Parts: sequence; C-alpha cells; structure tokens
Amino acid sequence: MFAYSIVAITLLFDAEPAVSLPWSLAPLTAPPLPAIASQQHPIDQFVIRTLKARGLNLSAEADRITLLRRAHLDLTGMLPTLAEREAFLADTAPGAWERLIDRLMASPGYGERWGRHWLDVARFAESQGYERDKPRDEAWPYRDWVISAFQSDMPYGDFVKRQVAGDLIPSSQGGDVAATGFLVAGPYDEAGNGANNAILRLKAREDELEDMVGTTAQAFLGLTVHCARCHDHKFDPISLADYHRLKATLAGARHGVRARETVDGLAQREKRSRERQGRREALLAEKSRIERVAFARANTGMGLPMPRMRWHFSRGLRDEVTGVELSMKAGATLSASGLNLPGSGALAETGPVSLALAEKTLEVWTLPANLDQRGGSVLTVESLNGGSFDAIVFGELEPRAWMPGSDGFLRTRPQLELGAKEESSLLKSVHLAIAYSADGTIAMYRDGVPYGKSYRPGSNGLARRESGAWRVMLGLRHHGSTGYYSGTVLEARVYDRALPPQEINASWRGGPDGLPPLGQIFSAEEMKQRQSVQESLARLEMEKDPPANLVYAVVQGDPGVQKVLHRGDVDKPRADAVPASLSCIPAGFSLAVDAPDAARRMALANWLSSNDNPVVWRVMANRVWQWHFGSGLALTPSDVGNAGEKPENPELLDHLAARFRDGGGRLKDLHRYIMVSRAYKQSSAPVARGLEVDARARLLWRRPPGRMDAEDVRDNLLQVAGLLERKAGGPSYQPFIISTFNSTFYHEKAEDVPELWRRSVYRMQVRSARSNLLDAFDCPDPSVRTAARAVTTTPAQALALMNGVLARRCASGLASRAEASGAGIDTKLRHLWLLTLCREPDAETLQKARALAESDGLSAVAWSVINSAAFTRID
Amino acid sequence: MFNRRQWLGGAADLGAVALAWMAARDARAGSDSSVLLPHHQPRAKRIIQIFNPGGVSHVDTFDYKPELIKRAGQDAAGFKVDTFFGRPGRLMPSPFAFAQHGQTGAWVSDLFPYLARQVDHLTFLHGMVSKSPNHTPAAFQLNTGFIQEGFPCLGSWLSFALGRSSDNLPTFAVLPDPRGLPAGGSVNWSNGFLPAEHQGVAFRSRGILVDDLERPADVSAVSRGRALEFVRSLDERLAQTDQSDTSIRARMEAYVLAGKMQASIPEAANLDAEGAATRRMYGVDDPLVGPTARNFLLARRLVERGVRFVQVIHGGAFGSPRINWDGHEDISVNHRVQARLVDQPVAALLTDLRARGMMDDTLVLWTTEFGRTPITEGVGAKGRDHHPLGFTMWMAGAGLKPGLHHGITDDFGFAPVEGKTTVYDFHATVLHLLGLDHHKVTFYHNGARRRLTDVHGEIISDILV
Repeated sequence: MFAYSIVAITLLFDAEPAVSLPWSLAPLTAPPLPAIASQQHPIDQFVIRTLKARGLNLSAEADRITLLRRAHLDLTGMLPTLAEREAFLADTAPGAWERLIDRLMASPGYGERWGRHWLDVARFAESQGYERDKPRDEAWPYRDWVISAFQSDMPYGDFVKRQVAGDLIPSSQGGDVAATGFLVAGPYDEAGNGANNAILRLKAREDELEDMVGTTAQAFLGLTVHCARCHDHKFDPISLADYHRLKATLAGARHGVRARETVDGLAQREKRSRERQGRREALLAEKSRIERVAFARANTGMGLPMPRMRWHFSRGLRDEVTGVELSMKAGATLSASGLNLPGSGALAETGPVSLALAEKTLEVWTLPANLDQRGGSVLTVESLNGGSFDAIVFGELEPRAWMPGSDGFLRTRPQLELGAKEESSLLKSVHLAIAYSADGTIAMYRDGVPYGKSYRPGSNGLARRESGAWRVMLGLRHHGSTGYYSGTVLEARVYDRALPPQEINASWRGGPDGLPPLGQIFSAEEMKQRQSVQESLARLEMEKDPPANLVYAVVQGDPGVQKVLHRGDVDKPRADAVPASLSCIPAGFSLAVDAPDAARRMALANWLSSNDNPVVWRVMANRVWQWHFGSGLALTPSDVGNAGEKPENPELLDHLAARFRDGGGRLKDLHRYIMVSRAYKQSSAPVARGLEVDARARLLWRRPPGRMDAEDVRDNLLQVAGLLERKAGGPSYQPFIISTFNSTFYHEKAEDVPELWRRSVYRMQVRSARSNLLDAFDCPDPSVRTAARAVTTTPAQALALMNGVLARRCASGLASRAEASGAGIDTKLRHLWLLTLCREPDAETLQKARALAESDGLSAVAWSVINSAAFTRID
Repeated sequence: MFNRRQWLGGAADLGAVALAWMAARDARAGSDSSVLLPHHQPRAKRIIQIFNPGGVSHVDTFDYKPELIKRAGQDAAGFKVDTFFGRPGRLMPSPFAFAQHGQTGAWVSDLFPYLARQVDHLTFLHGMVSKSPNHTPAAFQLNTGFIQEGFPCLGSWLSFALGRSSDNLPTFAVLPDPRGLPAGGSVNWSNGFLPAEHQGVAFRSRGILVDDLERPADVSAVSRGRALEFVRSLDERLAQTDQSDTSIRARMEAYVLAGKMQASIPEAANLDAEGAATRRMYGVDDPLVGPTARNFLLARRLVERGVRFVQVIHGGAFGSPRINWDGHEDISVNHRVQARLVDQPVAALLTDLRARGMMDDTLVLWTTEFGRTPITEGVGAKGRDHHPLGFTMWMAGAGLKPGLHHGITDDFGFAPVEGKTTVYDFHATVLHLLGLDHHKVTFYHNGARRRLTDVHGEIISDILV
C-alpha cells in the first residue's frame, strides 16, 4: 500500500544500473538474532533494533476489540459477527489470541481472502481478452484450487510445483491439473493465433510465452525476466539467451480446455473412452449391416454413405431420416426441380434440431441462378442466434468461389489456391461437400474431387452444436447477415461424421437420386432396428465424462526446438535455446534441446521449488509480510532484483524466509508466527516522534492504518446487511448481461438477486467487465500482474457508496437488522455500530445518530455509517 | 452498460513525497490549475482524439494515388504487405473521386465534402506505420503504445502526469460510438497498471449518463444533505484522533467533489442548451448523422468545461454487418457509410472550436489503428485488407503547422518513402505539445520504468510551429 508519484518513481531509478548479483539471490541462512531485547519475539528483536537506531520503539499493544477486527479482516477479509465478538471477549484465558488466529485460519474465509491475494499475483482472469474477449467458462477451477491450497496449508514447494506442472504429477489430489491454470491465466489472442498470416501466428504465440515466462518468474522468483526478451537485462544478471532458455522450458505449454485429470487420471479416462469407442464401432457396424442388407435388396446405392438428415426437395421439405421439417420464408418455393431460392430474403430453415453435432459433413446438389452473386449460403448449420455457423458459402471473399463459411472467418480459408472459379454452365447442377473432422481438419469437395487444399484453422477446432441449440438453413449465410443465395437446391444432406474422399466421390457419382427414398429402402422392421441403434448411439454420447470435469489449463503441445531470438523478434532466430534454468540461481538444470514438454516443466517445477533456491522463499515470505502489514519488507514484492527496492530490514526477511523454508513451507505457521509478535499487535495510534522520523511507519513504530480491499468492502456491505451468500467454490457468479457481436460484451447489471451476493472472489473475472464498486476501491485490472494494490481515495468511491444499487440495498438491509435487534432507538443504534465498527457509539455520536434516525429513519443512519471513513478503515 | 467510471478524483493515498508534490501543484494552481507538472511550456491544454477502429483506408481518403488508376488490376509483386488474411490481390484504384481543396490544394476524396473545406487547418501525417496487422494489437498500440493487453492508455497517462483537470468533471472521458462498443469494450480505456483513478469515464449515449451519478429518486435532497452532514461529523471525529492520516481528509474532500459532479456532469451533457445554428452545424437533429454528431458536440462541451482528454470512438466491434471501417468486402460501400456519419460532425467540431478561440490550445487527433492495402483482398474483389506499413492520420490545432503534409508514401501507398512516423513518434509529439517530455513520464511497474513510448519515440519536429 504505497502511494505513487512521479517524484518517488524517479528517485527509485537515480542509481546507475549495475548488473551484479541482487541481494535476493545470495544463499539463504537464518541470521543470528540481535543481542537486544532477547526476551522478546524474534521478529520484535529485529524490528526493535532498527527502531532503536532511529530513536523509536514499538507502540503498546492495541486493545482487544481493535485486535479482533484487525485479525478478522486480515485473515478472512470479513468483520466479526456479533457472536464471534462475544465469544472472543468472553475468552479471557491465556492463549485467547492464538485460539482466535487458529479459528480464523480454519474458517473458509481464510482461503477466500488469501487465495484472492495470490490471484492478483497470478493475473487470474476468466476471459480470453483481445478482440473477442470470449468468456472462459472453465477457468474457475484454478481459483478453487488456489483457495483450497491456502485452506489446506499446502506446503509452499508443492504449491509452486503444481502451478507449473500439476498435470504431470501423479497425485492423490485430482484437482492439480487445474493448478496449471496459473500458466495460462493470461490473455489469449484468438484472432492472432488463428490468422492465416504465419508470422502473425508466431508473434501471437511469442507474446503468449512472454506472459507465461514473465508471470512465472515474477510470481515465484520476484525477477523481471521478461525484460530480457529483446536484450540483456539492464539491472540483473539475466541475458537474452537466459530468457529464451527459460522460455524453452514452457514452450510445450499451451492454452486450452481439457479434462481435469492428471496423467494417471487421463489414462483412466482414455480407457473409458476406448471402451466407449469400441461400443460405438459395434453399433455403427450393426447400423451399417442393416443398411447393407437393405441397400442390397434395393439393388442400388451400395457404398453410399448414410446421412443423418436428408432432404430430397422434389419430394418435399421433410427430412427423410428423422422427419425434421423445413419451413420456407419470403419467396422460397418448391417445385419438381427442387427448392427455389430467389435471393434477397428467401430461405428455408428448421426449428431447433434435437441432435448433438460436432464432426460432420455438409453436402448439396445445387444450380446457382447466376455466378456473380456474393455471400449467400446453400446450406448452413448455425447456433440459434446465428452467432456461430458453418456453411457452404458462394462468392463471399472471392467472386465465383465456394468456401466453408464461418463466424468471423474463424474456420474459413479461401479456396482460391486450388479450387477453380465456378464457371460451369447454369444448366447442370454442381455437387458440393465440406467434411469437418474431429481433429479440426476441414476439407471441401466439388463434383466429387477435392476443392482447394484441406486445412486446420488455427486452434479453433470444431464448432460443437449441442442438442436443441442449432438449426439447418438454406439460402441465408447466417442470421444476422444479409448474404442470400440465389438458385435451386436439389438435395441437401447432413452427416454426423466427416466422410472420407472416396465416400464423397461415391455419393457424387450416385447423384441426388443415388440414394432412393429412405422409406422405400427399409422394411418397417429395419426402420425400427435402425432407430434403436440410433438411440443407443445417442445414449452412448451422453455417457461422456461430464463437462464439470473440464478446466482451462495447460494443454501439452510439441515444444519443438526453440531459438534464441535476436531482439526478441520471431523473424530473427539465432542459436538453439536449450531448456534451462536461469544461470544466476543455484540448483539449476539444462535439458536436451528437443526434450519433451513433461521433462521441461517437471525440471522447471523442481528447480523453482527447491530448498537450494534462495529467492523463492524470500519472495513468498515478503509477500506474506506485505499482506499482513500493507507493505512488504521489500517494497516491490515481484521485483527483488537490482531495480527493485532493497528490504528495509534484510535480516528480518531472511529470518522469516529461512524459517518458512525449513519448516516445510507452511503458510499457516508463518501467519501464526507473525501475528503473535508485538510488531503485529501494536496500536495504530500516532506518535509524534514516529511521524517526524518515519511518517509512513515503514519501520513499524506503529501498526500502519489500512483500508479494506475492494472485495472486502463489497463483502462486508453484504455481511452487515445480512445478505452475504456463503456458497463456496464452483462456477463464478456473473453480474453482467452478455451479448455477442463477434466480440463478447459484458453489460454490468445491478446486483439485486441473491445469486450475485457471494463473496467477490467468486465474481467472474472478465477482462472487459469490471465493476464500478470494486474498481473504485482499486481492484486491479485482471490483465495486470499485481504485486501490490494501490490505495487511492476518489469521488468514484463516494458515488459508488452513496448511490450504487448494492450499497443502498445493503444500507437498508443493515437498518432492518438494527431495527429488529430490540426495542428502543439506542439499542438499535448500538447494534448497528457493533455490526459495522465492532464498538458502541460514544454519547455525542449516539445523540447525533438519534436525531438523524428521527428525521430520516434508521436507514439514513445505516447509509451514513457505511459511507463513513471508519467503516472501511482497519486500525 | 458502461462500467468504467473512475473520473479522476482527489489525490491518492498521500505519502510524504506525494504530499510535497501536491503542495507544489497547489502553489502553482493560481496561474493555471489545469497544468500540474509540465516539463516545458505546453502548447495544448486539452485533446479530442477521434479513434476510428477498423482501419481507415489512406488511399481512399487523404492519400491520393493516381498511379493506382493507371495500374489498376495489375500485380503488385515486389511490394511488401503484412495483411491479416494473407491473400494479396491486385492494385485497385480508389472508387472515390479525388479533388484538390483549400489554399494548400490538398487532395481529399469525395468521402469528406465537409472536411475537405478544413484541409488548410489540418496537419497530415502520411507516413504512419504500426506494428501489427491485427486489429486489437494495433488498436492497443495506438491507444497505449504497446501491442499487448494491460498497459495504460494515452488519456490515463495524461491524467497521471498532469493530475486532475477539473474539480467537477472527469479528467478523461470516453464517448463510444452509439452503434456499439469497440472490440474489447472498456479495455480500450483502461488505466492498465496506473492507479484506478486514471481510467477513462465512459458516457452513455442514452439513459443514465454515468453509473452511480444520480441520487436515487426516493431520497430527497434535504434528507441526503442531513445524512452527508452526519458522515462529515463522523469523519471529522476520526480525523481528530489521527491527524497524521491524510487519507481521512482526502476522503472527506472526495465526498465534496462527488457532490459537485452530480450537478456538473448532467449540465455538461445537456445538448439542448446549444443554439439551433450549432446543432444544425453538427447535424445533431439529422436522423442519420445525429447520434454521431451528439458525441462530437458533447466532446466540445466537455473540453470547454475542463475535461482534458476526450476520446470519441467512431466505430463499433468487428462482425457483420460492418459498423466500423473494416472494409474487407467492399471498400466503396463500407467507407461511404462510415465517412457519411463522421464527416459533418468532425468538420463542425473544428469550425466550432476555432470560432470559440479554442483551437489555439486544443488538439484534435484523427486516428486509426492502420490503413488498408492498395491492392484488393483477393483477386477480383472490391475490398481491402489491413495495412500497417503505411497510412494516414491527421492532427489539428495547438502548436502545429496548419495545412502541412508530413510524410509521403510511394506511388501506390504501400510504404513511406519520406517522413516515416511510428505510433511512438506520434505519442511523443502529443506529449510534447502538452508540455511533457515522453522520456520523463514514467511509472515503475513489474521491474521496468514504463513509458507510453516504451524505449522509442522521436518528436515530429517538422510539424511543430
């Protein structure tokens, strides 16, 4: 919590850059205790030594109420309830303070508050960022993992290791895959990664890696390694090559949604999947057998693939397989030749289709009305709002060329390179098919042969259509567009698999009539059998591992051979970059240049969490100190290199760091150790000499007063109003209305329903959807790695608390609770004060409050208290 | 709809150093309260930045290329392009007619009949280059200097460097296109790693202007007044117990400021107070141009009342139908619509500012993330792809040589042959005009003393008076 100003920042850099080993990388050993005040807590001995040197001393211990409120807000972020207050005041036996600390650390509020601290460091966000800022609906398991790691007092070494390689550690904790959400919590440039321009894709990936390397190095090592992407570090002994070697350790880590299981869990999943696949194949074989018999009997159609939906328009608008009806709009007509689409407004569409569709083939026979029309679609499958679609589109990007159309061209490549311009006579129908394979490959065919090259569009993969969430349409490219196709469609088929080239060729040779009317092919018994197989297949589909097991986390990729990039530029690769640790830190490693991803990340994880790595323990001990006191012993907790601030009391930091490391990296032990010191328990009251020498109490002659963090302001408003929902974990609450227009937009909505009254740590962290109230109290931009939050005072805070919907609702909730607390205005007012400030109002305040309650009601008093500085202040 | 409030408020948590800084500022406040920490005498006190997302085609607007007519349909192999879709087509002349205008004889296409009459007042940058052919990274660079997410935008840097410019209005306001937010929404006016108070305040074009601004209808002014007085008395008592804690006084001050804003923001946004001639000049009541025009008129009212930086966004997100300058399919149709909406209001803004004597210390910036290719996007097509390797922006007003054209592109508009200007140069120049040395406006974040201009930026001295 330090103030920013241009002057202060400039001072920080006045020193000449020196590339020497920073203090934080020196070997870590516990320093001897100062030979003064030896009966005191070791922390106090170190603090007193620096204070004495400046003619200062520690302040007296704060009163019990102050300590109670301080401890609650510090460890859980929440004010004590009245019962908690009573219980603590009643416990006058020795050890009451220690018991309070233990009770608070065991309560769920602890993980929620301290997990939130770490989420700042980890720049945790739940949307992709960049142009489209799509929601990451599966990112929350990382947040839950962090909270539970704090709650269960996971050893810090394990905490570090799992965030880098949790998916690789066969473990008893099945959720450790989610821990790797750390590496990929940064933004993902979907447009850049999916671009046709290869350099653009490389650049997007290189920026992604910089985010991963930068965050990993800063969070765990407190080193600004990302500064060395383009040139040797200006202050620290980290070379350009060091950066690219460290980058190589993460080169196999990619953004993605995956199953939550670890390697062993994945093997189980794989086994289940294989088993299902076997049953699926048996069912498909059975289906195929029925069809083969029927086709043989019909003496036609052998070797023709069987569609999942099929419209033969000279026979009507009813799909012959499942009976789905198309309805025609605005000038579309049906004739003996087929479905006639005159363009401009004319289309035929189904209602929602009850079938899940991912892998698929779209196929049509059609006769375009003219060859210069642009942008219409012969056959589209789209989401119900038209926002996502796949289609056989004509002339959209290139005149006279067919292409697989898609939303925002996500799955589109023009077919120009090989696919010929459409020049056939307008008398003969053309056959078109697009096969979308499970691995994302898209292949287009015209008249039975490949049309252009097949391709895999970036990482966008298949568009999955859930049952009931899509439709089939002919004519319009997609709802929301104005691209209409003009022509006649003879036949349209949708398959639920990607047909291989030979089957497409066979289908083309068979022509629209190659497949006889399905009702004629199958006997009634066969139709029944087929239907039964179909249903079994659908059931099998539903046996898939549930989507709740998905998580936005690291997906393993091929790291390839990384290069040292001159000036950090993907255009300027130089020597090979072997995956290796930073040369300036002990316990290092170096791997073969082509080592697989698992070896790389495991080596990195082990090195980062090693007891021989001095900086990792110093950095975390310093962070813990900062979160307890408002500022760290070193003021720049994510930069303990030469450019950062050196610690005010380096021996104290080493004392804490060594104890933390040697005690197995237990945070709860560190909390307890710090919180029983006088330095922690002392009063925040000002002392003249202290103000003179050290106005901001960096040396801790008093407890520096603090302010609730943004989330705690909101959460405590809800708590004092009796509205807080203590539902822990699971998908985030979304206090916004989402709309999409290629990009995703999040419109903040009033938090006026209980589902939104959860603790703020469970708010969906969308990059472009921040909150008025939270922002006002310095909740950071989730895209920014935040080591220390600013604490500002602005009119926006006043407006949010004065007029904001949530604050006003909480004021009236608080008033109602006070109203119900007993008879007589004074009782009610005392109750109100105890709920918010933990103490009773003095006589003068009581008298003024009484007057206000008389003129404007108790809710005006409640409103005033939550608007007063004392409510958010922490003494 | 807009969750970005954050008008710049009272000073931050006041540490000792910051206190000294504030004192220095207040000592100067007598002479010019809007300028707190200039490094040299500023030429401009306020900025209106028009941001045109999508990419305005330079060869169809202000960079006339007759050679494209002669070589229409020819291959342009040999020229470097850095397009998004990677399907280079053939050279395509502009579908718009160009003519020379003003005393300076500047070429302008018929997309801008109103703006064409202003060319003698504009300072053109024809040699602009940007770092990415991808919309969002390029837009990030234009707005923040960096192609990645998470850096502070120009308006936030100015708020940080120069402090609050008004006691009752935001320092940095954003007026999004009434058709919709740009891609990324509020990320476009983020404070990045600067303290939250430096974030842009977005104004809605309909309904409630700014979130949480209005006192609820069920609370009377008298009642609110009594409650505020009680809050003040509580804070006063707290302040007396700890006189060293300046944040309590700062907080009391913030409540006073908030009260002022509640009155002044609606007043500033009341366009009905403008005369009929002004409204007509901007096109406020025109059914087509009106919604855009309102933003430009509001921009003038805001800077007039002390807002330092107003960003007017002319364009929404990407997608179909197009509501920005991203003319991939047909440059003629797309740019015709975009230009029609913005031409009259921008010209009116310039005329209006001049008439009020404000052009001497106001900067108007016409900006876009990149230009568009002189070639078509694909053979036989009518659209143009993204082109960051050479494009045009213009500036107007304080401290600039009017009518000057800086930078020349080759005969086709592919790349600058003279006066190449990076976005860093542009930012350095804007900061310079506000009295700031871009090397010195820095903020320590994650190991680096960050600047708007990264480690680059040369002031474009040719265009300065």
